[in-house]
Amino acid sequence: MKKTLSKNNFHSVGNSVIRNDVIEKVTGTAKYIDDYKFGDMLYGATVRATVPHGNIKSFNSALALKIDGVIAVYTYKDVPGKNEVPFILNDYPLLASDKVLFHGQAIALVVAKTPEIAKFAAKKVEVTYQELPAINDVHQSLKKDAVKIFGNDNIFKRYDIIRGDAENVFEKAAVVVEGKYTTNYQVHAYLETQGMVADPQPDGSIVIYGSMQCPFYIHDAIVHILNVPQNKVRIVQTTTGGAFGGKEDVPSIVAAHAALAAYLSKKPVKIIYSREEDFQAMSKRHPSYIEMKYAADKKGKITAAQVRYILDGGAFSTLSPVVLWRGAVHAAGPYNIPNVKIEAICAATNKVPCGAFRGFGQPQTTFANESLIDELAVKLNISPLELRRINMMKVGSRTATGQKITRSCGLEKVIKQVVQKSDWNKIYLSPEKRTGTIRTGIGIAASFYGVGLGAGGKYLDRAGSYVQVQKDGTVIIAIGNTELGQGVFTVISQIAAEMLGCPYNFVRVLKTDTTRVPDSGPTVASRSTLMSGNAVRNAAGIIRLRIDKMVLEMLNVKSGAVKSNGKNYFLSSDPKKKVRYQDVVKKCYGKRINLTSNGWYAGEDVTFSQETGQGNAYYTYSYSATAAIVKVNTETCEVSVEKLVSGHDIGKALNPQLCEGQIEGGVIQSLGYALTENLIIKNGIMLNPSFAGYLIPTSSDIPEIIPVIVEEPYHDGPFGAKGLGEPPMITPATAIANAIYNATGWRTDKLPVTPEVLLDIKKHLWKKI
Amino acid sequence: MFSRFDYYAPQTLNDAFAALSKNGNARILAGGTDLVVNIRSGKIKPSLIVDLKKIKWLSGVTKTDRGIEIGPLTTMNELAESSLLKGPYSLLSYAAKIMGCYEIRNRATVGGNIINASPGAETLTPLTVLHASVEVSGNNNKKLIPLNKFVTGPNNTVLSGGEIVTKIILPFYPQLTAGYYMRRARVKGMDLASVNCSVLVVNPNNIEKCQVRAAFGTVMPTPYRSQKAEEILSGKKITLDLIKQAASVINSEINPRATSLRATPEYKRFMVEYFLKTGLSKILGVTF
Amino acid sequence: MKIKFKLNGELKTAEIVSYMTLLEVLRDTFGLTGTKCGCGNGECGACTVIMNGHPVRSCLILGVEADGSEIFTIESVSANGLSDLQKAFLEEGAVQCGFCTPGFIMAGEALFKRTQNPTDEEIKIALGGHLCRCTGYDAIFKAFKKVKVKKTL
Repeated sequence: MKKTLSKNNFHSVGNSVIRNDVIEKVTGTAKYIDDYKFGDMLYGATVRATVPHGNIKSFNSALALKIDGVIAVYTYKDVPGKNEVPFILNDYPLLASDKVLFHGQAIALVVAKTPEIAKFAAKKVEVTYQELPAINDVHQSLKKDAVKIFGNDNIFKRYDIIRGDAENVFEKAAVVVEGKYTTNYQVHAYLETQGMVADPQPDGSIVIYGSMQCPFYIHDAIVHILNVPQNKVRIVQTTTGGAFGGKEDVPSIVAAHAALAAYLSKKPVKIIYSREEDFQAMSKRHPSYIEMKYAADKKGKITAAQVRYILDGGAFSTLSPVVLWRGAVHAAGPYNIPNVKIEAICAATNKVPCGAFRGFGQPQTTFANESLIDELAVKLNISPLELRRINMMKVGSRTATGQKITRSCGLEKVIKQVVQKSDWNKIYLSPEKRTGTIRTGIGIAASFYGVGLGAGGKYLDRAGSYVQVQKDGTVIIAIGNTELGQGVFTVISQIAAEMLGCPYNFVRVLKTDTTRVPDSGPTVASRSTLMSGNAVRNAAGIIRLRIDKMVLEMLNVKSGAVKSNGKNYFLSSDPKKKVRYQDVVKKCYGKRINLTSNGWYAGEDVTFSQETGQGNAYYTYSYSATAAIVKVNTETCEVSVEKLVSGHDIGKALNPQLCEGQIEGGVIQSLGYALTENLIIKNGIMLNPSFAGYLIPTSSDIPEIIPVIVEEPYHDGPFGAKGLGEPPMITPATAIANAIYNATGWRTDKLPVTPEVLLDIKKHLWKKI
Repeated sequence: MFSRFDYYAPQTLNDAFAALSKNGNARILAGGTDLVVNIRSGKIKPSLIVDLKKIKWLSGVTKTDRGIEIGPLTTMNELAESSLLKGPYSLLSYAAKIMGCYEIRNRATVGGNIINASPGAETLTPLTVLHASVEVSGNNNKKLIPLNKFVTGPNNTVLSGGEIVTKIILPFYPQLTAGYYMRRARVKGMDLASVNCSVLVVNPNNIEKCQVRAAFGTVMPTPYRSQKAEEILSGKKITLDLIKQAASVINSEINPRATSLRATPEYKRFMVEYFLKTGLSKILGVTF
Repeated sequence: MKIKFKLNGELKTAEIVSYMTLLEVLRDTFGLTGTKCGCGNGECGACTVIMNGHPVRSCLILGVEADGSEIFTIESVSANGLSDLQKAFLEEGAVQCGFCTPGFIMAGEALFKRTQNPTDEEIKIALGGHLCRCTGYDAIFKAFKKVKVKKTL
């Protein structure tokens, strides 16, 4: 259990301490939103559109209102503030008014005395439509004569990133490869569905409790919708049963629905989504269509990259603009390429709106660029590893946006370790040399990942904290980021303990609450350890200065460096001179010294300009690579993943066990993305909105997983830490696709690569022969 | 659940018949793993649920003069663990063992599985090749119906409102007989079969007298056996060529529906030959 | 309808409507919210409880079917301190968001009652229908194996 990675000079950080929310979770006492009850509570259910695109002709709630136990039916007309959910472009109405743009869009809210009555009554609300032609995919959406469902071109957002002169290089290049790739939706499939309770207060304020990643987003949404001052809204996160980006943007809708119903009915209102409803109405990973080209010289030096990257945004834009941006910035791959042209477009369709999902556009672009890199290796007749070694990012390299990597770049080390731990050199063999019905293959994919929001959310990249040492030495901490299962509260406790010099288990992190710290941005983009970690480091550091002064006083020394082993403080120059932590705290209280502080952290500045598409996009990057070993049954076209070795340069592992947990969980999500997770929407209707229809990996599907952690410290990270949450989801799917190619010679241009997809490739190859 | 219904758990079959005859909109509850889902989704709206689980003799596997008799309320885990379902019958216990997941198998019953008659139902193809018959009891009568006549379509059987399945009977196989059950599932933990197949060979050691049976699930509305294909494979030394011939005959006869989300018609057709080959190879101990 | 059954070792009676699931009875009537609803269709395993010695999905069982039965929920497992399996979950990092955890623990407690020393295959069979989206299952397997090792010593 107590494993550390590198030599560790710290008493708290770097240790795999047991997470601090685990007892309540293994005993079933942890309270998730559906476990909360309030006196006199009502229940909300949502009336949803039954057509993918249409004008609302009539709306009649009379039948529903007659049902015993139904309190009210609310529509857009009842919204006191603005009837729009504030994301980025504010195109998403809270409740549809005159038209609906996707099957499942919220039209009205039914409030009733039990959840069953509310759901039943919601089905009895009669809505009729004048159906309109629906847009089913991005190609249709971008046609000139397409029906317009957003603006005058159906484009939510477009970015162009141009560096050097790619077009010219392609004309003269020795070797050019190109490919067209498509990826399907991915569903977050968190085990706890979306849910909120809104509790109106006697003073006219309102408290929202619920399952969420981003309390401050929800705060903004409630203010916007209810038209109330910001200090009248308080958001409290409850224990959250998984999120993965799915509780980043859309919980604002669920919360605003509950808030509206509570505000109008003056009673607490609970809304819990059924699994089916959660599938149909909540955000998804964007399907993508990517055209990509690489040019290289004969020796394998990549000279140019060109990408046309199109995301299917669905009916409303939610966070599509920033998802598009992250994917675009990283689309050329983790390589030093002098000439790059990236065109990124997110288009509207009449389908469920897509939004944030772990990886945020990068799993899609990585599938394109890392598949194509392998194709380039084939064409150049060099190994896929060698090609990556020649071109990979190092200190001194430049990204597609022209950003110079000046420090903390561990890609080379990551690839080296992944190759070693996957036994690459023993297993790798070119596909033509493989024989038999069941064929083994090995593949690799690499990526870089901008930590935090970067220029995509520059003004949000800051965080606050509150640290209070109690009289007995125990510590209370408030931060603005949320615990989603990733273990951030544990890591924050470790950082605080390290800074204060107290035992880790003395620290308690309060449930995230918007009234305790200022807006600290969202809990996304692998930013919490860096942001809140630094904010806590800041606050605890201020307190520590006061403590150190007291220690010197108690030791009767005028000056000197004070150190701590988590129990005692001692003089660096004379470790025998020590004093117990609790005694110092007691003394401070006795002397009326304030052991409480706020903390603040703002990320380093970034310079990316939307106009030029150039500049520093992020202040630092994590680097990752995954090697996959697969067995392919060439008869049934079934793929079995045998091993995934996933390496990550994360600066510093503050809790190695938690880091490994992030890697293991992420790679298995990516395995599902690669092979089985296949959401089907036909003519705007979702056909498999359930765990029986949409298959996430089960415990019987998991391969051996070897997490590898590389530590190239980031100077501004807490103890050198960068971010880890998202990267494990980015490379494994493509590593699996590359391994399938290596086993069989079958190159997939689609994810997921189901047996049907492989069967098609197989038949096609046979025809060619 | 919002759907309102009454619940009755009779102690005897007669009490059950009485309840069923009084209420035209009654549904029988066995394991509930399909019924409760269907009620919740609104697919069915019964006004009365008749729970048969208190009639203890409706569950269990026994050996009688008629053959191996399986009570309809026998759970999948009980089938999987039954000492009577060995040898010729082992493909049935294997199919039961991989159906759903452990918790589902503790509730799901073989009676429920055949009455629900999902095209990919795990027990249907094994029971088909084993020539199972279904004992259907009405208020004053009892009849024995071959399984292939009992199941008439997806979620459809010949069972009428007042009737109850009281036994599933497997004939004895005095000659050496071996079977094999196969399925394609998208994940290994819990999934419904995308396409499945049971192969049974009577007299596998006697080339002239060997008899091959193969039933395929999800390729037609009910488990599909091809008389022509079985004739091709029976009574002679089986070769890869014969298997290919048989598969091509089956493929000319079946018509997998295009709307299945679990596998495409092309994939199902492709799997026919693979299943035949693999099943026969496992049973005969020969590589084709 | 009136039901009478043994819940976590105590005889309980309740007046319930026939159309409640066992999951709803446990959570709403008895306030035992440790049992979770992840899908409501028996597809995820979060609602697993032990009924008459067998693990079952409480969302697929009517409350009235519990009449005369004996049921154990997650709340019973740590009545006398954490179980070996719960401790192993702590140590191996087998918990992230925790929503699936009670279901895994109940499947595990039932498994260790059936067999003191389950094989890897038996563990796989017991967990096959339990979905976890956070951990990738690796740490969960390690936790199960840890209990196994402890029992054989």
